[in-house]
Amino acid sequence: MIVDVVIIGAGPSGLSAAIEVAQHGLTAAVIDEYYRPGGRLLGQHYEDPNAPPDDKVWDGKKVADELARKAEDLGVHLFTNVTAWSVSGKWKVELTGASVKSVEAKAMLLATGSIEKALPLPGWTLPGTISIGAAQTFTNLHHIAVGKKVMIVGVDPLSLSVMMEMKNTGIDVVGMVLPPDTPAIGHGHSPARTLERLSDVAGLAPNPLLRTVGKFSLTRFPRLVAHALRFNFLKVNGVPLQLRKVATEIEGNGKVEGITLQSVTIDGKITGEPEHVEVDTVCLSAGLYPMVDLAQTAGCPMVDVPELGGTVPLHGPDMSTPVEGLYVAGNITGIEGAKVTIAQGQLAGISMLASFGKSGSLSVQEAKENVNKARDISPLRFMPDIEKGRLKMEEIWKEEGVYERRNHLQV
Amino acid sequence: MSDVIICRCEGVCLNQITEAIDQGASSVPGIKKRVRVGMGYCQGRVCQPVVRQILESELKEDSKTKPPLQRAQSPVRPVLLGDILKE
Repeated sequence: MIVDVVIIGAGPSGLSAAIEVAQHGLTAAVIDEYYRPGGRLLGQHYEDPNAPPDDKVWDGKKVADELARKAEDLGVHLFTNVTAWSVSGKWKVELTGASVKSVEAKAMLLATGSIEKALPLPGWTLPGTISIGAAQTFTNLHHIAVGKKVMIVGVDPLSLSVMMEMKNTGIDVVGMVLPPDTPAIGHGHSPARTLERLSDVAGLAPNPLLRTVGKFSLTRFPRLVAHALRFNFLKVNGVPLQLRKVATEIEGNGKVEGITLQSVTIDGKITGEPEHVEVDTVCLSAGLYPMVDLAQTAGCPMVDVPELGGTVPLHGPDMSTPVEGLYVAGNITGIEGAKVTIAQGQLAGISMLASFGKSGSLSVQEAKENVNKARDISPLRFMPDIEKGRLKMEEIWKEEGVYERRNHLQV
Repeated sequence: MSDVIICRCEGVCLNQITEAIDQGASSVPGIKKRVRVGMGYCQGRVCQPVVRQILESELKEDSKTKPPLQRAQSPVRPVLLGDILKE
């Protein structure tokens, strides 16, 4: 198949980019591994108290269906259950699971999103242990209860939202605890560090639980730590948020039967005796990182920007990369919520249109401003210093991106 | 703790990875070549961040930054031979 633009990833950014280019005269194909379009939108369901009255409930599944329908109505070829296993040339995308062998296009947008980081506690491979993202998909997309008694390990905006969602469906979430400090997990999850991160994101809290945590942030460090010391746990919506306990082991014979907890100092050092809690399910949450493998094989230089969530493709403010005809959008460029990634997708679409000598529904500048606006009204924030990360990338782009692009053109 | 599985696809435990580091491995590919970590079905998508964390923890005296992400190679996902050969 030959199209003008090939997009890998049918999540919020990929679909909005497809809509933008298809509305302005380009042909497009979107490829996604999952059986239905929408990406992480499919699991999202929450209330946003700051949104306009008729827009308070964010129903990701509905947003996904609307975007996909709009794209298909515009003639976008939507491949689901299809895997892009190789990209080469400028551009040829090899497929498996599709009726066609490959898609060729002049421009390629990688909107491959992010993946969950593993949390290797002893016993984490026992059946009954699942990632927080899987718990979200089971709960909100498939309407399947992940267990009867659930413990969540890892306290962050995503795990807090999923806890609320599970609670709303009647699942008994017995608590939320922190991951331990081990060589494989690192020291990023101590009570002090966790509270610091939460207080940074809680200002825009979408749910009562985050807002409660946000109350801590009224008193900044070091008094924040003093608060954490006093409250070994907070009980919010009936779920104990045990910020001074870590999970050291998941136990069971062939399946999850319990979990061992230990008290820790605010810096994460273990104190006291281990405590056993009976649960049948453990959800692990260690954060997300950008999925860059196809960008690497496409020859795009990579940059490590911790504020964005890890290693990301070098890209400019218009979502172009140093590689001619290669664009990126969404969580591959840094971990953010769906409202931001939808705006990024449109921006990437407009940039691709410009490369074909066409104009889109907005100027590149206006679309860029929309991304910032979306960030300002976003109810969920995953990386506390995301703006700093974005600025860092702009600086690196000014220093290296233009130079790299010239190099690529010479090759 | 030392027998906790890190790479589920290839069944590699934490102590095998720390042994590889003791033998001189200082990067993700170095560990991979010694103990097959990240060489299975998922190609390291699950374990690579953990392996980088272990390297950072074990090598912290000599390097302050996380070892770089290894370069992905095609095929980046499992693919049916029939789809490779398809005309």
